[in-house]
Amino acid sequence: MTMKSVAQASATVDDTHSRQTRKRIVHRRAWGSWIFAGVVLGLLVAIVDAAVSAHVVDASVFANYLFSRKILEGAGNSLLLGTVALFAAGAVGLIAALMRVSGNPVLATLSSVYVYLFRGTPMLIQLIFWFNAFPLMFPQLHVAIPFTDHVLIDGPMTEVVTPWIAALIGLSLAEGAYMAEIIRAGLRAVDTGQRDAACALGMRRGQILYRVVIPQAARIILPAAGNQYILLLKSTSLASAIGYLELLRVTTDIYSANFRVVELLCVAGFWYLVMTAFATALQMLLERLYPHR
Amino acid sequence: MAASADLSASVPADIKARGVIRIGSQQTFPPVEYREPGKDEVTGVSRELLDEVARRLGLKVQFVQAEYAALIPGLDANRFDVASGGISDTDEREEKVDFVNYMYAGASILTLAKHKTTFNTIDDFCGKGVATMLGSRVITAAVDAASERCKQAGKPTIRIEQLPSAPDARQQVDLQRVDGYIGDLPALAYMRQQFPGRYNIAGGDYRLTTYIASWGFNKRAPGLRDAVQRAAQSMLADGTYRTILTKWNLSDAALPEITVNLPASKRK
Repeated sequence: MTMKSVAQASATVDDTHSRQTRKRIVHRRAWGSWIFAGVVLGLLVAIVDAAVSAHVVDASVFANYLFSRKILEGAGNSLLLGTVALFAAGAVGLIAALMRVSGNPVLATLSSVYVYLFRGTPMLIQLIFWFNAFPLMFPQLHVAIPFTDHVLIDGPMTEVVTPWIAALIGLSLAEGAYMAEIIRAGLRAVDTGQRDAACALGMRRGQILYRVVIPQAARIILPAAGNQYILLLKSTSLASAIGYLELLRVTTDIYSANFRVVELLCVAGFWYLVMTAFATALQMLLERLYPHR
Repeated sequence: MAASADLSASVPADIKARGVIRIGSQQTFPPVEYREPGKDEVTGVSRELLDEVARRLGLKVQFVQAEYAALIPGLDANRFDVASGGISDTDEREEKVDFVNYMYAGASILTLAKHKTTFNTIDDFCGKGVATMLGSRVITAAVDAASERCKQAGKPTIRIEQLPSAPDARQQVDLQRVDGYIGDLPALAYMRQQFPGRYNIAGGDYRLTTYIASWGFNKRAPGLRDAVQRAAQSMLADGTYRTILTKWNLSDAALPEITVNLPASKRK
């Protein structure tokens, strides 16, 4: 088509124009990739067509439950758990990362043992541990102000460690181990020359951290932290195993009554996608605050 | 007694050609269907009933492990022919699946033995917590009703904790996070027997609700459903059905007749 149009153009327009047209760059067509794209699209159409004609999903059931109160409540709880756990994990991760780079051998070892343990075991096991094993090991929680008779908390551990608390502790500590590594990588990526320069200007340690290191480290930390937020939002589904009322548990509850398993899993999937879109938008916004130079 | 020619003639051709009837089950639900610790073989009252049903139809039984969430999609996807494992027949579920009803089941309450005199019925749980298995809709409805009665009597309501499996739910009783675990009476009796002296069943054999343990079939395959119903009915007629239930201490759970799609709500 392009060769032909070039030829037509040169035949119909005057000399000056035709000289310009001859100079136009004609890109070579990558026929192989277009054929592949066609095959992929064709397969996609065939799969969607097969799925629709098999009536796997009853669209009216899907639509009925998509905005039902229980589902929205579960999705809200998932979002809440994932978000609170992200901030808690950020705090835990920051402390662990600072311990690791502190230069103190005890703190650095403790931090790396923490990361090893909590990154090395499945989150599901950790959640069940906090919910079941922890109250078995410490049946009574007694918190008092030292050297006084003032008791803050005194009660059975099971009343303190509710499904919500167990899920929050479990997700925060597991995620904190990943955040520690991400933050440490960010801190280490800031050249030591920067610190030396700030030191030479007479800045104190805290000032160097706040004014020089963190703004630069944030550029490296934020995209990775956004990624972890998305993972964490999806990991809240694990809390259904300990009875926290989140999206997957609500969904399971409904489909075990009416057996519309696929439709309700699609409803849950839809809301996880919405949450992920929210997290992605938030991440892009934050990245704009600390743009790459 | 060999396979009855009359019964085996009613088996749909594709299943007859295969010679095997595939049962999808969680296999973690004693005494209905479960595996003894360290064994691969599925055992239980439903397994024995199905073995005899299959024998009369001239077929063999094959168990397929499937989680609760995968049971009904598995039927749809023809991964197995029967969904089993103590599922109960309800009106709502009948819109999706057909049921052959095979035994009475009911929810009772497991408590610690030391609370034997404290808890006799669900109404003794005002202001306390109970644990159930996730998705036990019939049970949660009954607890909600009792909770409402507590409120009317000016007492605090009943708290429900829902967990994904029976052992998880039972553990909440051990932890004393809740005071009772509500589950199938046969399953509770089995647990009490496994841990002598630890547990008690509230009120001896108090039943919170009654439901009908059933086998689930794809609505598009009524042939197998009817063949299984007829075979099980013939077992009821000649006493084999009752013999098997009695062997599992479940003679109280015997139905007067093997029915199709007759949930507890439609019975007297």
